[in-house]
Amino acid sequence: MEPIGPTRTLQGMRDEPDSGDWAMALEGDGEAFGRVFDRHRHRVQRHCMRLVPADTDAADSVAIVFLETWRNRARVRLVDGSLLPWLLVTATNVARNQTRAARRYRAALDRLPPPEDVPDHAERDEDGDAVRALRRLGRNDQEIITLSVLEGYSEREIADALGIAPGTVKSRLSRARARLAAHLTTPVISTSAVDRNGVRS
Amino acid sequence: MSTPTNTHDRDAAVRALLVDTVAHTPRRRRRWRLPTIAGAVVCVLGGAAAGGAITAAANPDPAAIAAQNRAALVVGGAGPSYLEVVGTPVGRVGSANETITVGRAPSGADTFTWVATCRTGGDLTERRSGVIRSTASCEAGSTTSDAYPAKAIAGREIRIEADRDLDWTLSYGWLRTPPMPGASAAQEQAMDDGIVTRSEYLAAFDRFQGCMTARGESLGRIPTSSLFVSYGASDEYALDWCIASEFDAVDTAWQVEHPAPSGADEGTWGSQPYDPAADPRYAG
Repeated sequence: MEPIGPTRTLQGMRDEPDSGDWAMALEGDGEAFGRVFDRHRHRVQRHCMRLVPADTDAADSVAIVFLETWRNRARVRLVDGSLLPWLLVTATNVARNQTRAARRYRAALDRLPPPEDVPDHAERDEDGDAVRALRRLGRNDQEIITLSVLEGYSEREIADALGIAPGTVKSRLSRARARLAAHLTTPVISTSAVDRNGVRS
Repeated sequence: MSTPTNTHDRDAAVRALLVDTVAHTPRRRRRWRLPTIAGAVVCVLGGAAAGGAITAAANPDPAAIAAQNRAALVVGGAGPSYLEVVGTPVGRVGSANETITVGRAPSGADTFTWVATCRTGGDLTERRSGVIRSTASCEAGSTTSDAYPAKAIAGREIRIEADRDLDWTLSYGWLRTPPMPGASAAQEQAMDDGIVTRSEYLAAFDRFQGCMTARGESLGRIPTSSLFVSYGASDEYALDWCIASEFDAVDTAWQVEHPAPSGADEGTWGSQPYDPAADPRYAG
């Protein structure tokens, strides 16, 4: 029997299908879930870096995303055999509730080696105005912009990932784009501290 | 900034944590069950009659007819008794290798299962997408089986590789799980800080018992002084319903943080001692 080949091409990257490994993980095969982690950790990490607030422990985010995915395994939806859309949606939600999500896994996270240094503010800002505007959107808007604009999924795939009708995707995406555009034209009010000499910390 | 080394170490540790989490997610452990098979038997009657007639027309082999006639009973009995057979399961006899071509899942089906009964002894290997999923040594008269979520297997193939002289009866088909509840607010709250204490574990079990009582199915007097509680009930649907609502996640977290002592099995489950003094982090 021939192994199943890649099922979709996205922004020049080929996603290996996860359905086999996911089914095996559900049967208790830990290594199968490890292979899912190997395939997607970089994409998940990149997305977490976009959205996790700079003052939180971003190093924990990737672990939390995969642990949350496992905790909610009964509700997971694969899109064309890929777990990546679900992971990205989970990452979006973890980024918004990082502190609460981390509490759930504190005992396990404490046993990990010390995290790498959190990149400085300048490095996190490399994503530019669009990503900064994305951080200011609500959860539903962030989910749909992430899947559509940043990751290039089709409306049908987004509908599968979010469990909503394709028509709902279209209308929700339209509103989210409008709000994103509004944020892009609205100056961000800086919250960084300014000392008496006018130097930002 | 980080070095490649500590990034690699962190990723490797996260991966190991995930592998360990999945591998040690406990299957629910119960001491006993009294399955009710009335539902499965009722399902058999219609499906077996139709399946048997079709098989008889194409193949007069009595063993093949018997295999088809029993397929719904075998498939329906492969999991908890409340699972419902969807469509007409397939039953066939053969030897050596076999490929199951799984079609689209019928409406409402969420699980696909196969059951092989070995008529002679030998080794069986199951491959999915070319990858070995399981191997089993199958003695004459014994069975081996597997189940897949519908989403993972619909439209794909399962390859059963058997010794050349191994004769088998193979049954496969679709099953539907009736609706199950999500975790209750109390169970979610117990999970919220990431640590399940002894008192939270026992309180969740108490709510689980209350849920069973409310559904007319008592668990009886269960000792709660051991490391793990052990329980059973005859109504499997009520049992799984109440576990999902009140106990599943809490029980899982407790078992993950308290690995079973070596030698623990179904027979001794519920008799391992619990020493609060040796468990200060969770004893509260």
